[in-house]
Amino acid sequence: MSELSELFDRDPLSLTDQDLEKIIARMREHQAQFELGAKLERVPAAKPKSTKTANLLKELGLE
Amino acid sequence: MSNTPLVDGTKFQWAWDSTSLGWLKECPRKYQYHMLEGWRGRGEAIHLEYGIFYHEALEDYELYRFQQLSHEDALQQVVKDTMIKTWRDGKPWRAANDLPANDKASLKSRENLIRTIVWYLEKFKDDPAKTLSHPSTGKPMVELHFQFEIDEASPASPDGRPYTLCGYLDRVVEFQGQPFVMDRKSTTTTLGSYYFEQYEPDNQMSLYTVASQIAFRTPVKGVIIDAAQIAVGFSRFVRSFVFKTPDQIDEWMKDLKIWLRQAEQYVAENYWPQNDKSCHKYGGCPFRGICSKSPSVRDKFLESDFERGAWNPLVPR
Repeated sequence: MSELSELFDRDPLSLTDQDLEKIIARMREHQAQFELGAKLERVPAAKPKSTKTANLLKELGLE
Repeated sequence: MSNTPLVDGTKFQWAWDSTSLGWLKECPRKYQYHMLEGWRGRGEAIHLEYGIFYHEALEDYELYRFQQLSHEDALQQVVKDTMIKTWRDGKPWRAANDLPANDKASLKSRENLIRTIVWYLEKFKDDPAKTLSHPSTGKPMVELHFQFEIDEASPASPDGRPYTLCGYLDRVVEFQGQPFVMDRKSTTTTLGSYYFEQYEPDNQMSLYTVASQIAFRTPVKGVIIDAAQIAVGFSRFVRSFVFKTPDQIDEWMKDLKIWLRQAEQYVAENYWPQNDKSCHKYGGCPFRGICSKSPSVRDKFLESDFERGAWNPLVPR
């Protein structure tokens, strides 16, 4: 059982301020991970260069 | 004045909110089952409860901030309050577990609720939409009950009572110098344009605009829909605007009076017909399975598949 599940299964009247802080901190971590993932999804993958462009760059010594 | 929306001993409704009016507009039979007979699906109770917990948490946060608590302290207090409210008979609120896995209400669990509250308040801790203060009390305009009579006689009412519109506004805000009603939604649906199109035009958005203008004398321009999508592993938030012109509001009021006459007609005939073109809309009517059966056996299926939970728009949330 994860730490978070354990906190959720406990009588809330017995939760300390530190327990509540832990719950909020975990939720924030999950949110940050989710938003990072969403941002990465929005960044388009670099388009592979065509062979012609790659050869030209090689000829010009730019790659 | 009575605290029930129906005139005593009749099926004549004198107090209308957007929910009951919406049922009538969708399908008179749906209105009969939900409003007059008080049937509701088991999953519906979870959606309703989840919505109430979510709304209460965001309202309480506003009130804690009004009492000068910091964001951190208000957030922690709201999480604590919600954890306590969702602890029932010595165990966590886990009604969602009673549902089949394919029922979307199963997503609305206690843990997802707390996640949604924390993520929402983190995202909007510096909200550009500022809650307005009540002109007379100075308190934040959140969870505002409204109830006002409309200029429409009700000839079917035995005691000549006028029609009344009622309900709750989640929040009245100022956004970019303009006043708006903000309505919060929690859904398991993806928040794309398809989701928001259902609110334009929409009965609830029109009523809220009217209510703000009449009951609170706040000349709002329309409604900001503040939607939360509850999904497996994440909650997502999107806002959308519904603008209403005075002409649109006049038209809605004109139509409302015709709908009320129609409701009187159903009462007079003691019959609420099926609108069988509505059964598959709005995500599918919960009574599809009932209406598709022979009338003689419907009551038995209602008893076994549904539970009673009268809808009373006059009762405070």
